[in-house]
Amino acid sequence: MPLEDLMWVEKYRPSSLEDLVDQTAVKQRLMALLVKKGQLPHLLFAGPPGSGKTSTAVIIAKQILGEHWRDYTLSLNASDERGIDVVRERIKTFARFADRREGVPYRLVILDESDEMTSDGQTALRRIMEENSEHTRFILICNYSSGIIEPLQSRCVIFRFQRYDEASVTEHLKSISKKEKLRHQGDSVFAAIYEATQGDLRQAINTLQAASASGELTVESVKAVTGAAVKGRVGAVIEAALGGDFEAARTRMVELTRVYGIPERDFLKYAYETLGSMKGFDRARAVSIFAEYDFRLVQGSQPELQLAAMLAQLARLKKEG
Amino acid sequence: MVGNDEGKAKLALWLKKWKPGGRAALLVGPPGTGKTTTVHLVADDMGVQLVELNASDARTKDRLDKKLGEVIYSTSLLGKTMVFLDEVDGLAGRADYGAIDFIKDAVKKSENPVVMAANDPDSDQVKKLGSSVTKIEFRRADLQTVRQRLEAIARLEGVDFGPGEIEELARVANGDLRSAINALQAGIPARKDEELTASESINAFFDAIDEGAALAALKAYPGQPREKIRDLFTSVVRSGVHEERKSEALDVLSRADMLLGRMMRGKDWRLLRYLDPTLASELWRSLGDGGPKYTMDAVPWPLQLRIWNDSKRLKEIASAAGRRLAISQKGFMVEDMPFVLLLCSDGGFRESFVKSLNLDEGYGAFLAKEAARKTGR
Repeated sequence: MPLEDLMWVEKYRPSSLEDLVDQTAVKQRLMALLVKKGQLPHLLFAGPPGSGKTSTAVIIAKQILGEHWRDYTLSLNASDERGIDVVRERIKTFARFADRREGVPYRLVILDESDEMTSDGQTALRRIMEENSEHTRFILICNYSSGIIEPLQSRCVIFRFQRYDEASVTEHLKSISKKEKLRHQGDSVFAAIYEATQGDLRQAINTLQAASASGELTVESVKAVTGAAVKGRVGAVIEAALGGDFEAARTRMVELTRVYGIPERDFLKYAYETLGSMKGFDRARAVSIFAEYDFRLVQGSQPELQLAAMLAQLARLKKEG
Repeated sequence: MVGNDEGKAKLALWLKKWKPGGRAALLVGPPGTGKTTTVHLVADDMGVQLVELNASDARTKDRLDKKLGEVIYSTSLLGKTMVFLDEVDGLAGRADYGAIDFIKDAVKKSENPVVMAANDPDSDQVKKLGSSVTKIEFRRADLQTVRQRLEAIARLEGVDFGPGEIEELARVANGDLRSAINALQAGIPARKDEELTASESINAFFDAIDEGAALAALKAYPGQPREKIRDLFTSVVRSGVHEERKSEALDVLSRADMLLGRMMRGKDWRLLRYLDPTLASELWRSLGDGGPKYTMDAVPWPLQLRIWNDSKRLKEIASAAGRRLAISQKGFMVEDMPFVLLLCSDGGFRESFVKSLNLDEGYGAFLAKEAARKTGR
């Protein structure tokens, strides 16, 4: 079985713009743009995670580049830990070596998390886009277009994706459940998935698949899966820290960042998101610790040290009662 | 000029022969071997005006363009001009983005000769310049030359040094004539701080009886500041120091690391002088008696092994799957991998997954192990 069928996020990924869930405004404007393939400008997709940005990029790649789209598409993460130079090198190599076939008007670079780059990095990216503009189109993907520097924004046509609401997510999950012939407890299951994934359709589908792997889809199986997802595991680290167990929190943090490859900045982002659902500590103090260490993480040179120091501060909240 | 007469002659010859479109000259050699002096001397000798930039200027492409554009692309009415870019191997990273490419391009088009200097022949910057430059090597002065030169200066200045002391100065300077002369002028024997091994230095810091001793221990650390902070961090974090003291110590280290990060980004190395004193007073004090011992690893050994081995395999899997699904490796790692690992506790899924990515069987066993970890079975 190919990977595309094995993973439901891929199996049920929309294959055309018509299939994309909601996002009506985006679809209409894109269809108009795609009439003249050769004149496609660079695109900037802004919106929350799991709102269809990558899926849309892939649809465009298939539509423009045809059956060999994979050979002419490069997907990169702009906040690659190894730096913008690595990104530049890979784009350069890609632009230089992949020869084109008939009917392939240009190559496509899909650059995820463009807004996580520093403004220096984005300036460098602007140069990369210029250097390769002749045969390469860029689709920049980000959560907030405000995190993208003005000169980059002005080189792209901007599309804003909306967060999926509970009704859309539930409807989509139900249709998948039907096709996969899942046995489930009813609406409470879908409510639990939505609660855990907050409109992120990719996470929701992943959760659905993993939670139903044992046979029956229940609220409990959903909870078990949620706890094992990145956000759940980061949440467990913060819980340990707030409970005063610094060493357990720290080693789990190291495991997540160094073994499971969760970038330190993502760790901090997820950690802060989970803070809202926790109780029994001085919230104002905790928030100011997060703010301080978010700053230090960006300023400093050793992220592991910074996160460890942050966890130690959180662990102290408990001692101070 | 002492030593390196050959370098001077070569530079003069290059300048004489230079025509627009010709190569730039690149003087390569360790600090204090007379590169900068040579450029000034040759320029003086030949009546050439120097336009100079060194590493203390921020040299992004735009700024280079602004400062040098005019000199490089036009002939001067006031006679010959030579552009001198000192410390080109100090051009690094993002702050000087595009500078090397700009220089290469400028050299090609320049109406005026360009001469550059660098310390490290193996630096990326020097490599990148490649065949667009004529290299002229500068070597360290030998012991004899340095000693004679120092003796001559001492005589001229009427300072009394015993022969043994001059010998010692010359030896310690290790061919760096500039530092030897500086030391001579300061009237103190230029004894480089005695270096210890990393563990000796870190342990001496923790065992220091006062701040002064703590500072001396840090100064004797053999590696880079970043490694020093890392070693202090791992030792503190793995120690049995009381939690409250530990969190204070980590706060100090976190601020020190922030200072270091700023320095590295801005290449503002003069800030470095604050690093050791800050650590010596704040970190040493926060730890109190019975401090930690030198420890190299930040985490227990089994986890360290997983960092080395398992993380690599997970990344390979994420990279292969990401390519297949048109998402980045990181995207797959964060968004999908945890779910895939859960699903891999099912043998059928695991087998199909490994097969669909053309991975070898070792990965099947690896994923089974990871899945068991995830589900806690």
